[in-house]
Amino acid sequence: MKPIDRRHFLAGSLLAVGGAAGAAGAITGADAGPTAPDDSAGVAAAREGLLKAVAFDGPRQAGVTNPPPAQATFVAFDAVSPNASELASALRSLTYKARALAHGERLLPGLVDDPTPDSGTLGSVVAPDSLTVTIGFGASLFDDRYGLAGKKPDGLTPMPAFATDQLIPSQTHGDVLVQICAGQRDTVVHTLRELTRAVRGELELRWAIDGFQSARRGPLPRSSTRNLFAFRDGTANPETKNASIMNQLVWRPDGSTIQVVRIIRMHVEFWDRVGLREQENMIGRFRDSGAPLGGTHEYEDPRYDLDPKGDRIPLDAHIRLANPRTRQTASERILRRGYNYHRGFDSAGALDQGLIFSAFNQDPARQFAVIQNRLSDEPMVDYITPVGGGYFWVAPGTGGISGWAGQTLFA
Amino acid sequence: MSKALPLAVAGVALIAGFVLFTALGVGGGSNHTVTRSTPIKAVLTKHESAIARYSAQVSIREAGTSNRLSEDQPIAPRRFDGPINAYRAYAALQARRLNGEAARLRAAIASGSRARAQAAWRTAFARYLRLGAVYGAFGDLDTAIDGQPGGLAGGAQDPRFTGLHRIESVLWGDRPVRSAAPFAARLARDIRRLRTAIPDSEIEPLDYATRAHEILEDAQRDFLSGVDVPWSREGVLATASGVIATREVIGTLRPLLGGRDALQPVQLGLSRISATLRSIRRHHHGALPALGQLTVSEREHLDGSLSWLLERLQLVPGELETQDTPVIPRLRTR
Repeated sequence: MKPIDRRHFLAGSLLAVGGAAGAAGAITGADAGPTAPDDSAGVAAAREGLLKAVAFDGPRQAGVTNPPPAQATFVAFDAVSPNASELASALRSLTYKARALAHGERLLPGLVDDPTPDSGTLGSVVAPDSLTVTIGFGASLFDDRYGLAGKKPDGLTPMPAFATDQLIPSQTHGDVLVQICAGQRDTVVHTLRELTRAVRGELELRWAIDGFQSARRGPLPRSSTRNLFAFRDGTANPETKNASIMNQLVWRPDGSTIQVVRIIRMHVEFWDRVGLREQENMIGRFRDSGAPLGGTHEYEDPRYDLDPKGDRIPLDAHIRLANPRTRQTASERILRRGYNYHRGFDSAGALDQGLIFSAFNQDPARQFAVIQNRLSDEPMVDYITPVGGGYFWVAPGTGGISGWAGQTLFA
Repeated sequence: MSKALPLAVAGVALIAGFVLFTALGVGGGSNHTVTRSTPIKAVLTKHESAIARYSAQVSIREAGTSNRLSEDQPIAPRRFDGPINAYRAYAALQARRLNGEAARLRAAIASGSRARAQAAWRTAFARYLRLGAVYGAFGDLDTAIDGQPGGLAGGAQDPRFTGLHRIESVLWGDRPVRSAAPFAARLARDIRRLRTAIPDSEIEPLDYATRAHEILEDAQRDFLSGVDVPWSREGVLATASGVIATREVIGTLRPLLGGRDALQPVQLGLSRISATLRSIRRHHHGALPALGQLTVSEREHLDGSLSWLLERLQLVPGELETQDTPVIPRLRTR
């Protein structure tokens, strides 16, 4: 295998991408028949999307502050390696494979009698497709199995059960978390398949969940997308391009961060049977525009100082409890980077949909947990059930092409 | 190209509609009102062009200056006194029976017979859920009687996990039946406290109206899903109790709902789910089965009956508003 060549990819993968563009064309031009006319613009756009790459190596891992691409899988593993050196070697393999896929690669033909090193599900040219693979470690890894008990990062604990949680053990915690994000579903699925192959017998699957972003449907380019409660989500997120804010809230001095993942089931049928005004009062924003109640545009300051009694935005509205916007609470803020999920339905015939809440912060005890405890009595709790997730220390970046995620633990 | 043209036109129309939509200030201020009764759904047909759809929405929103959630006139809060008092009397009767049933549960657990204890637990659990509309009115007492271990650090082994579900975890688990005895004693005490609390319980009209649909929302979310009955899987029994409680609530509200649109469909829905439950009981030799014993067809009919009823019950709170929905004050920063 060798790194992908941009020009080569353009020529070599035209056919493969044409198929994807054909599918996209079916949405915009419903009556385009099987002998669709030349759709070169669509092909070019799809190809450009597949070609986008996010740098894998650096002082910090990718998949934290870059804009979330459309598709994701969060997968937690438990370590079963017989000893520390095999575990370290598995983590090295995991990182190397992730790096190759994130760069994109061209598969070279091997011996036909042998299984191929890559499953081949993306063809012989693996486009980067904005792929990021973010590797984190749960508190459970830092026990006596691998001699890591003394190396547990500050502030890393198992995720506690919050007031209304109904955590299902088989969907909670884990030694290693891998967050895979990319533009297309097939890229994510291929990545997961190749990564599990790289760590087979060392890291065993504990839980996994697939997520998707809502499409950007405007009205403005910067309008936030909606979650499955139909409200715009992420409006008040801290600015990722502001390095100083990221260093205050997200990154720790060594380049690591702590990721909080919460699988939050949303009882969407119940939610849909609630009046619009009641929904808006629970959230504190207009559903349509995303403006704070009484306001006119999404990014308007809700000005709680002008509404001390909650006449405009109820005192127990979600946005008000989550981020009171005071000087005291400024350092509690977190960087949310969640995904919607849909995974079938439950035995009552109700859809199993919700939010993969994923957020990055320096210290959950100072940030996420404080916010979550404030939300324990919000009226919205009747409509959601957190069922899984965990806290994971996202190790510092690799630093360069020979580095690997978690290397400092085994130094 | 001939096929591409209409698409382009539709695209322009869509954008034009969007601009119009935005320019008219949709989503801002006190005129942000989409009432339940707006005929958006009726207007929306897939054959209509995008511009027509957006124009229709804009005109509805522009015309929608009322701040009501319902077309109906608000109901004076004191008119809820009768229904709530009637419900309190019903709840007091249920609590009196529950008191005796909790004592029998205690005796059955003391006997050490798992089958006897399970049967007594089913009776007490079904009875407690018939109280339905008073849930949440007793705070900590509620949690002590039917709390779940989810938020507790020690989970199902946490000493703060008490009540019916703690006992359930023993009776359908591996531990000796008699190890549930302290929890059965505690439950009996808590139920005595509940009995004395019911006559003085405060139930607000808004809460009472909301519970008409929330009792069965809980049944769908927590019981038919199996989530809140993880050991016994008695979700059908629990749902049947919710139906009884809801029928009682709706019965007390009949004077207020009379002549309003929701009543008849709700009554039809209650009849339908009651018939479904009767049929299931008949096929399981006179007892409601655990979730896992339902056939696929029974399961689908029960889920369907409940969903159908819930879609009708959703209109009840709006029809029982005691005031016009307040206007949201404008955010003025200057």
